[in-house]
Amino acid sequence: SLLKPETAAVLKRTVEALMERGAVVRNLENLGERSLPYKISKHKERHRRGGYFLIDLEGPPSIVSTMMDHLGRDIDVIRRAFIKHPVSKTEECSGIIPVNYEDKLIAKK
Amino acid sequence: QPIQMENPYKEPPKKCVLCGIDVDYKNVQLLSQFVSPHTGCIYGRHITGLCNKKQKEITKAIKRAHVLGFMPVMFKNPSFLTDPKICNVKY
Repeated sequence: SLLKPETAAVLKRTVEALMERGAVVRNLENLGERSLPYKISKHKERHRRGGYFLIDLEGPPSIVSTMMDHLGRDIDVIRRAFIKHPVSKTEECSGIIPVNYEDKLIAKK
Repeated sequence: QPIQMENPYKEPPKKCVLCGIDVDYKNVQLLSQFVSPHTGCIYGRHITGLCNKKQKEITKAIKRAHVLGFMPVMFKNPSFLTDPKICNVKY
């Protein structure tokens, strides 16, 4: 029961709240609307379907607690989270180095 | 007189399955390949055959996906049951 204008209003609210606290929104991605992997009960309702959105933002770390509070009071938001930007480091991946078990055993003694 | 040199027949170090792939909590299909279809528990290192770093990354990503509501916890998503087998599991 998520209509397009309502979801647009929710997103607008959150982005405005973020900008108010001084965060720079870089990108907003829609990860699609799918049925949740398990039923989530939030705000006196058992939810089965939900829309997933990812907001790329830069800002001071003091926003986090205030924004979690703000999103917790929003009825249309089921689950909220702040995650650090993944620093991709996969170019240095050398293969599996064979471990010398003899040395390990002697060293522990 | 024999010349001292590095072993010319040395094989390149063995790479694990994910040895160049970015692990993300959002691609549930990749994460579900390391999860049991019956119970949803994460396979250990002796089953997946991944190197230290990648196993840790996968476990962290799976736990994150559980919490954020991307991946089911107690079972494997049925649409991913017919994926090719990566881990050497014996059912």
